[in-house]
Amino acid sequence: MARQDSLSCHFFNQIDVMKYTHVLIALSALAICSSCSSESEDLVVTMQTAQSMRSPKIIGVPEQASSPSILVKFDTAPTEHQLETLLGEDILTVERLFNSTPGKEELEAAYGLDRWYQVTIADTKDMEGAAEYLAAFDDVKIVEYDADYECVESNVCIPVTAEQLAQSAYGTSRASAELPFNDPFLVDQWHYINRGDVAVSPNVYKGADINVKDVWNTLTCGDPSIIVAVVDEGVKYNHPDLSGNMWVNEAEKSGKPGVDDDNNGYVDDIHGFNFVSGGEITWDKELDSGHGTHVAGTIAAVNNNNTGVAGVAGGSGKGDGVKIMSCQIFDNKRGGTVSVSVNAIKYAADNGASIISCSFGYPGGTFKSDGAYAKECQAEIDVIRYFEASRNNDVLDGNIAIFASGNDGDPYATYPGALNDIISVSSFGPDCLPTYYTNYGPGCNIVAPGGEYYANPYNIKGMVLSTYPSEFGEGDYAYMQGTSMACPHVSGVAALGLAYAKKMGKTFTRTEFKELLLSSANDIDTRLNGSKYSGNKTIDLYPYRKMLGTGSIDAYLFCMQIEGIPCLQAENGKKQWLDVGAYFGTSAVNLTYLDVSISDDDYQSLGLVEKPYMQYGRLYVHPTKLGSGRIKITAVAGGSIVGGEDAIGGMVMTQEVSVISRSFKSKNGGWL
Amino acid sequence: MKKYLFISLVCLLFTGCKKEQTEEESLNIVGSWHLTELSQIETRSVTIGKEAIDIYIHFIVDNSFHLYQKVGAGKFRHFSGTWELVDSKLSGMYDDKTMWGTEYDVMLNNNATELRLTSGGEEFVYIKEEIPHSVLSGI
Repeated sequence: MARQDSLSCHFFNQIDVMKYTHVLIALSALAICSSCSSESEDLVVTMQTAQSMRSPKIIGVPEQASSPSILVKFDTAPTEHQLETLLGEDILTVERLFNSTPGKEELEAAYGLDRWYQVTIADTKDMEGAAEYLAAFDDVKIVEYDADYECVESNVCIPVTAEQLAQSAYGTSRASAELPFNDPFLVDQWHYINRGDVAVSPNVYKGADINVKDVWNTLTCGDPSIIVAVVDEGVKYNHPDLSGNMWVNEAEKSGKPGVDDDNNGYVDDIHGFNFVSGGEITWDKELDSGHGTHVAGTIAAVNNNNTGVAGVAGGSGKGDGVKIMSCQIFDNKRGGTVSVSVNAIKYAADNGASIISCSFGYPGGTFKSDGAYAKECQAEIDVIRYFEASRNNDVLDGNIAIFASGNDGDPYATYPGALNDIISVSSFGPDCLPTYYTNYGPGCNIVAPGGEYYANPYNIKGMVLSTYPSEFGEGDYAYMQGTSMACPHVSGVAALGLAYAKKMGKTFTRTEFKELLLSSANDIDTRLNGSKYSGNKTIDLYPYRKMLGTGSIDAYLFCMQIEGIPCLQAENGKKQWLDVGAYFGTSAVNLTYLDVSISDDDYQSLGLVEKPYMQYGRLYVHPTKLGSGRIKITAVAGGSIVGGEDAIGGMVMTQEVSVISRSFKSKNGGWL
Repeated sequence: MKKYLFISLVCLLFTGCKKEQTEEESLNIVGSWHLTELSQIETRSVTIGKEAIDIYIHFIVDNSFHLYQKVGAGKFRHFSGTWELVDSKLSGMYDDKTMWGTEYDVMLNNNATELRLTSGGEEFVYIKEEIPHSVLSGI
């Protein structure tokens, strides 16, 4: 009996650090018993039979849910009469799971959000009975247990005070560092600008960062119209390095306390909302970890304010950073339910967020295909689709969801990030190598700095430095590690991309935007030789080859691609290989290519002798006419197969390049 | 008589030199140029197929040059290097030691406001024009 029925959902800041285990599991005890005796085997069979007899409409397992509610999805939007028929002795209330937002009714209906209801059960000891009762109604399509989350202790979060940071300037002097901003601890944030200082890591690799320096210097530092929702623990919105970049709901801020001034269904939601308690955002309770505040700082700590750290899209100190919305789904180690997390995501969609940064998910291996995930977590899928289809900026036709890939060290990403069209982020360290804890392989689309500490010699500077709640008495900043920390780097880069596209007057579909983002990556595979020692263990690097998505995120390359379709110059009359590395990232050589296509007109324009194709990351062309043509190159971002109903896999991405055929060409791309 | 002939010969030589220098002066390409026409086999425009081409070149008297190019979408890219004009043939090298992709035949119109560079069946027509600040600052 190999089936693992346990479900858990947790934050991804390093596996030891903190885990939010969601639920229990239908038959985990049963799996243990199964190897013990024939009596146990009989019991297993009995339970399996019972399990198999349940209605196929029911998804999830009852042990997941301590909340006295069950989620129900109807075939069609139900009438009042249909809802009333559900009520009975054991069914106390039936209410819409999602608030309906004026003006978005059509979109809500398109993704089925108008058909989800939350049913309150009188007797939580008989959740299965209640589920079966609900499933018996013809017009009920899905019955989903409202799973809980719980928090597991963390042990690798290193808070630091400003004084401590000032005393521990690493390596070469701070004065020698040419940094774009005056934030005093930007010098410690190797994940933005890695100067190759061995004080960060004995195996530090210069340039192992997100290549954001020149973006900040020459292109953009953010845009306050772009809102990133941190779906996580509460964000300390009055943190001195965050407050300037917090999203502010002006109607609530200037309204009356205790009143839903903007009539969006939430009271006093000035910087977001606490979906666990249904009230104020919190971050400093005894069992909180500061996770949300740390993630928020990576995305948009205020830059150039002579204070603390920098954030990827934190602006230039002129009020031009992107804005952070706190959508709190964990509170004092108590996790929310499915109903909590899905409402947090819908809130983000309905209140202006263009990106959700989600450093949580299920442990690796819980689901092995999109289909399996959909069978257990339909409400989550519906609301993620709804979020992406909502449009909260002038650049895209929708929004972008970004998830961490997980910290189990598994050779596949976790869900929801592993969904084939959702971005899932894995982690690398300051050595430009995968971190010891990161998930990798199918479903992992791209890698970003997640950091890692070194045990021998002990060094915390290889972790990610960001903002932290001082209420824990240990300073305003902390080092953490995990794909939880990698995820907000990509969220920040995506936000920078939106800001730059807006500045350039560019528009994209969200699919195009994701493709540009994923193809803006650098090679990491060529470094995957031998082994590395980290996390108190030696890791063989070879298994990670071609398993780290498209490579390491490159903010500058991303912005260059946003500027427009890249042009490659070819020499007329010659067979040649064109290097697309500058546009697909240097990881182009390691991608799995699915197709190369060109229109008939463009084929003729270039006088091609044969169809172009990709090999070893280069584009083969043989033009015989002076002219140009646009060529579409399709590859898999994350593994060698495309994910889908039956398997975890990568995302399909298509990049377009233009080839200009001239009678001559300069090797450096110069016109003359 | 011999003396006279000698003087005459010197005069002739001098005259010849002066004539050659005048031809060089007629190909004075120093200044800023903007690509306005680009010949292809079938078209004459500043596009190649679907791609718009925008090129500014500044030839400086010390034989250095600055090239600002936008090929297709995106921002202008800046290149610089050195140029040489010998016998109406223009060639050059970028600062990264990459040679130009070709050597051009050069023609200037009478008032030196139009520069024609030809090579390999392609003809490029540049007009004398200051490089806009937006191009320079966008680098």
